[in-house]
Amino acid sequence: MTMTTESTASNPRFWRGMAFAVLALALAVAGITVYLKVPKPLADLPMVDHQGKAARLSDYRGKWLVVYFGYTSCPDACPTGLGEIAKALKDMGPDRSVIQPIFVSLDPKNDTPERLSKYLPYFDSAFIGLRTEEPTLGQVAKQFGVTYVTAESPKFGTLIDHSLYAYLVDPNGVLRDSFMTTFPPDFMRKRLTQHGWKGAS
Amino acid sequence: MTRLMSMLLAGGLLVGSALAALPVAAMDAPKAAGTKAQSAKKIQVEAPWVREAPPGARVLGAYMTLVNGSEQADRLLSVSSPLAGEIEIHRMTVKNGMMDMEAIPFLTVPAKGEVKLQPGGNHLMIYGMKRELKEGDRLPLELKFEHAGTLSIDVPVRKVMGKSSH
Repeated sequence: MTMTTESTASNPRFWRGMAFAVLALALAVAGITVYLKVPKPLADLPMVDHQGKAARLSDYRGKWLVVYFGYTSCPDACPTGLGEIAKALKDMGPDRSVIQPIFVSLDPKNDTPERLSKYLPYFDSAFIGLRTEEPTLGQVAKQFGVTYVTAESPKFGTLIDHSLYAYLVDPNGVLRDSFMTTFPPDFMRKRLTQHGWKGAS
Repeated sequence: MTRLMSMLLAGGLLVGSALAALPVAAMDAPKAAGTKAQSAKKIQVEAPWVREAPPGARVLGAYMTLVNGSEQADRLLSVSSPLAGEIEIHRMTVKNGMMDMEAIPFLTVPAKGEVKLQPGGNHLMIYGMKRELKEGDRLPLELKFEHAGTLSIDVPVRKVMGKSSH
């Protein structure tokens, strides 16, 4: 790269640009190093479920929640993550009756209740789909520590880069844990047990 | 013939037939997965599969291992199918639990090396399907390489939960 140092350094626009770049970098670093502090009580924000009914996380109190954030037009990460959660639930047998799997859509524009109600039972019939518009979606995502970046492609429509975690919420609505959805078999059961889950008994 | 000699001969025959069977098995595996028209020196496509799309999904992911037997690096330039509108090559990496996915103009297959397309990583994104594919169907794909030319493969559609069927 060739740069005439003198003219660049004395250019106020260059320094303004630099300041922005440094700030952006600092924010980016802060954004990715912030980790989830648990246990964390969750605010009860208004959403709509896959049947079009008003729903809040508090509607499922009494059960452990396994929550995943994604979108139905996701080519790879979401089918993989939802499939792993579905397998883990199936492996739990009757114990799964006290666990509620939840999918929160990061693409409320395209993920209508109709689409969610067709998509989710493919993985597991117990899945509840939740959607809400911005800015509420941003608030829901933020308290779980979910990050997402939405891009519109003229060819493919909406593509979203997002966190690949599953989240465990206890029966009192307190966020307890999060882990990557590329977990090995039996991992979810172990993590639930660590947090005091005792199965269906 | 002494007993020792006959044992050695029998052993030799066994080893020989096992060795003879090996390359056949190795060549059968990609063939069974639907690969054809390849020379061992160039690009081999191993274990290709397409994930059956959940109902309502607009896109499919396809996976495979590209093996380059030649001394020269090659590049996958484009992929097409008569059954699909568009196919993109996607690079996907994971940083701090966040995915970073983007379409890339080509995928390099190193000389004497391989590249894996697999769930949770790089994949082909297939969009605009002309009909719904179910497990047991096959999706014809044309893979265009810079040096190896065009490979036509017939990729099985599989219903796989998560990363793999296990």
